[in-house]
Amino acid sequence: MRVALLTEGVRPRAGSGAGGWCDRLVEGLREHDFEWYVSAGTAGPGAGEDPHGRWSGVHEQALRGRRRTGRAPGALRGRQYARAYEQLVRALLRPDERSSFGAGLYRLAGLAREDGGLPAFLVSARARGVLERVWRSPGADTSAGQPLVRDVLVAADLLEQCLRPLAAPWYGTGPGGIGAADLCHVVGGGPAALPALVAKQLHGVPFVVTEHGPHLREQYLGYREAPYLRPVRALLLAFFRALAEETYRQAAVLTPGSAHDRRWQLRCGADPERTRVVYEGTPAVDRPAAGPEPELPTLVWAGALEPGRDPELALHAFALVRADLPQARLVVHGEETVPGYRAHCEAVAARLGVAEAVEFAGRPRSAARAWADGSVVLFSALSQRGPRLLADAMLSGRAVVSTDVGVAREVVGPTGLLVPPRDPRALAGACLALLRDGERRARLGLAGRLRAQERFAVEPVVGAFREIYLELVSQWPAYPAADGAPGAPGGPRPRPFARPAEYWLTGRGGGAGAGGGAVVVGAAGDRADTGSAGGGSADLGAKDVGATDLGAADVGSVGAGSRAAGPGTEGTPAAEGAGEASGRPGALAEAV
Amino acid sequence: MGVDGGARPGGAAGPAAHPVGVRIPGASGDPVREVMAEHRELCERAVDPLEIAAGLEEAGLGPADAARCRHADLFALAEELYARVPRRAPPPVGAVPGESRQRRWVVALRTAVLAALPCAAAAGLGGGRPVLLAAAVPLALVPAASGAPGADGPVRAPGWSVAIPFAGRSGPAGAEDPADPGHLGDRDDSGGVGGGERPVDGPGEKAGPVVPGAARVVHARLRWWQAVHGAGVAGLLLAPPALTAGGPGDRRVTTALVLAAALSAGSAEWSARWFRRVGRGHLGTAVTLAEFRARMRPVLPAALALHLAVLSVLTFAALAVLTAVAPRPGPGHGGLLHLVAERADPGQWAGQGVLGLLLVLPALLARCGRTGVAALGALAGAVVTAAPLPPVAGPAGGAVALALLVYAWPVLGRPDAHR
Repeated sequence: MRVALLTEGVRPRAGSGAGGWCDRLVEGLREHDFEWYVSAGTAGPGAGEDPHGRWSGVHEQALRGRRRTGRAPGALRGRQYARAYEQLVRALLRPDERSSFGAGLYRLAGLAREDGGLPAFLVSARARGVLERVWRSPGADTSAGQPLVRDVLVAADLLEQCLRPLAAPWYGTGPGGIGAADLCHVVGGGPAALPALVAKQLHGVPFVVTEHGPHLREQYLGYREAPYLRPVRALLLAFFRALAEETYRQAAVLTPGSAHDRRWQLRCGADPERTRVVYEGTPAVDRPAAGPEPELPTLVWAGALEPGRDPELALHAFALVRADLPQARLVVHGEETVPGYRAHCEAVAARLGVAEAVEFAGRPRSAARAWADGSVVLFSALSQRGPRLLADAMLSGRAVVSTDVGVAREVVGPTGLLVPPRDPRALAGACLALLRDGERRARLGLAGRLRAQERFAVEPVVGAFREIYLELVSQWPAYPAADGAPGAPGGPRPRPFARPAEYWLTGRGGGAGAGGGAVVVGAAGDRADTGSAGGGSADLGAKDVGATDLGAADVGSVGAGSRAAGPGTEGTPAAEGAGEASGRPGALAEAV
Repeated sequence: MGVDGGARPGGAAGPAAHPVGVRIPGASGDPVREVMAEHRELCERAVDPLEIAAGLEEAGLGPADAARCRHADLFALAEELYARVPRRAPPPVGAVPGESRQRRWVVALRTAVLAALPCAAAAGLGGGRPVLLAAAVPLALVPAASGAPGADGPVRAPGWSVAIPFAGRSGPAGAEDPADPGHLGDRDDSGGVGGGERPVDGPGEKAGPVVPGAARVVHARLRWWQAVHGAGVAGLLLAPPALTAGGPGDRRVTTALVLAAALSAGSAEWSARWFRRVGRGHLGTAVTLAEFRARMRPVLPAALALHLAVLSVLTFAALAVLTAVAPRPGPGHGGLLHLVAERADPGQWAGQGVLGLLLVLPALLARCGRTGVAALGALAGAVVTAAPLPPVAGPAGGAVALALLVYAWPVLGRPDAHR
């Protein structure tokens, strides 16, 4: 099947090599065709190139940099644009109209698709005027302060940049268009999800959202240090929150990177039924375990040197350890991200009298070597938002002591020691307990390595998405146009459940791994047995191919009806959501 | 979560250990109040309960702390904090620091000298065609010497002026690894998941200051506009001596007028910078767009009037010197004032005024970011003035000046010209 992969961030580069998450996914799912739609930072040389040759196509759009505004809409169209924009802005600024965010967004996207005047409108004085009028009207939420002219200017610019994907030349069912894809896979959330939302609205393409670290949380943290005044910050964060809520509401499946992230998504309105944790696979699982431990009892700490990682706590704890175990050493890997912080840490070490036993090793040549330097790995961070570093340490086979924050509990689990944050005594106690007991150390290290290998291998990720893709397309109505056959003059006619899941595998992918294909067919067959609703209706649909849509008076009809309207009209999101929720055949087990 | 009960080290943990951190002396028994006191700034600055939740998570609080505060999770605790802590008004932002008065004067004087020296040299050397061509080169560099618009403020290239920190936090804080680009750093490499930093992104990445925007980008096209603008200035200043070189007019009067106009290039630069400073001041303090436009309405006429006043004073002075050095043959009547005013005919005075407008309007437009229009305007003015038909030249130059004025009037009153 054809998958449109939507990301925001770096464009593919020739030098980056393999190793990216998306690359691993595409590598694993060779039976599908992937097209990559990147909302990159700024357009530049090498845009739209595919350095690896694995993608069917790479499309890129700049989120920053100079605008190519094009022609401005005329007076009448301009008024329509202004109304849609006002609806969007009111949803951001007035607490009682929050629900109209999606409607405004889709109206803007529809207008942009008709005449392409959206970029010119968004930079126009008219858009600024609308924004200011709504912002200063009674009832707008200005608890962050009344906006001044400069706030309106900056906020209008930022909104323009955020909404650029709406005007991307990607939509449509022609070659290279998102509408021709069978499903969208949004990696990362945020503005990257805008094309998927629009594609679902215009063309009825379902989408999956994978977020490793919710985009919204990153925005909340990032905007604390952004140099924008508070009204601007409030407006932009309201936009990101509304966007996240709309994305989570419309997504067919959400795959957060950890249970910790899942809590954020559920908080923002994700349906727990459709939210499954898929851990981020890492190729480091194939790495051999670290060699023999160093002769002296050594603690190793790794991470960016910054207050949030709290290396000071490690130093304080190490001072306590050294009081009991004078030959202990501490190796600190990592570079400072706050200027002068390393000197500060060295001063702290000197003040504690442990300077000669602490080695600041700087940037390690590879992570595996960093872990091999110690007998116990120490994490003292105040927050752990992603599991990657912890998993990498566990894969080395060394025992792990970590502060009990963020994802640490679900990643380390019973295979390491967890201590409360900001508590040097507890941390020192845990370290001492491990340093004194070699047998326990080895046992925990091995258990941790096995646990990490099981959870963070690449194959489960690929397998999970293989299933998710198949599950999505098998319950979604199929278009003749998706097959490449030019349909009737009346446009594509939807045939809900016309194709069983197996359809998507036959004749596709060629000889790309026969073994993998066989496994997939088996899995799909299993589901056709267990999920009677999906399989049964698929058979029905296959029989009466020539019949009208009315024949499909089953659970999927609500969603099918709204999708049948196709581009131009707006199906109600609620109806679609209902159709897609009820049409789901049998709950799959948690992906991992 | 029940499966993942973290193994805690038995009795090793200190009994007094307190996850929230420092106890506030004299705090009541309300644990929420403790959290509130510790994270007061976060709560006061937050625009949303979720922002507090993210901040608390980042500060090391977890479900256990929320439970201690009798909440189901951190989100609920954050909601209570958001409700209990009043939002404190942000400190008023002072006026945007513009360029200093001293710098304005220095640049104006430098521009005046740079423009006047080649003109004077050309006049002194006789004003032949090779001399004029040689003099045109330094004159063409005058706009470049006064600094790009981005040197003191933002470039009028809107995409650069603000940038979204999409990535959340910049720098390696987003990627949680010490260093290794091979395994741990694939967030940076892959363009993959989450809010990684994008190393390829250039200047837009770091967000700039609020109003003036990030002004660190000078793109190559700017230089080109400057060159065209410079060519226009050179043409404007050198066309009159070139035309009168073989003509019947009084060469000395033309030289005096051109020297005065060249010196007034400094005043044009000064006016443009003053205009921009005033605009930025209003931009920082105006409440609504309408108010900003109303405030800016008298500023452009004032800037033009300032420049024209300086130009007329300079012209008058140059003609006075000319009259004192080389009096007009024949008996003069009236005082010095009358003599000086009569030294140039009304057409020359009008031409001087048009020349002044053609100098100051492109300077204003270029300073406010409309570099393209500024360069084209200056060039068009030069071409029209240098037309070999003297009766056409004056009105045509006036028409160009008028067109520039009609364009500049609404554009320079808009707020986006002043960021």
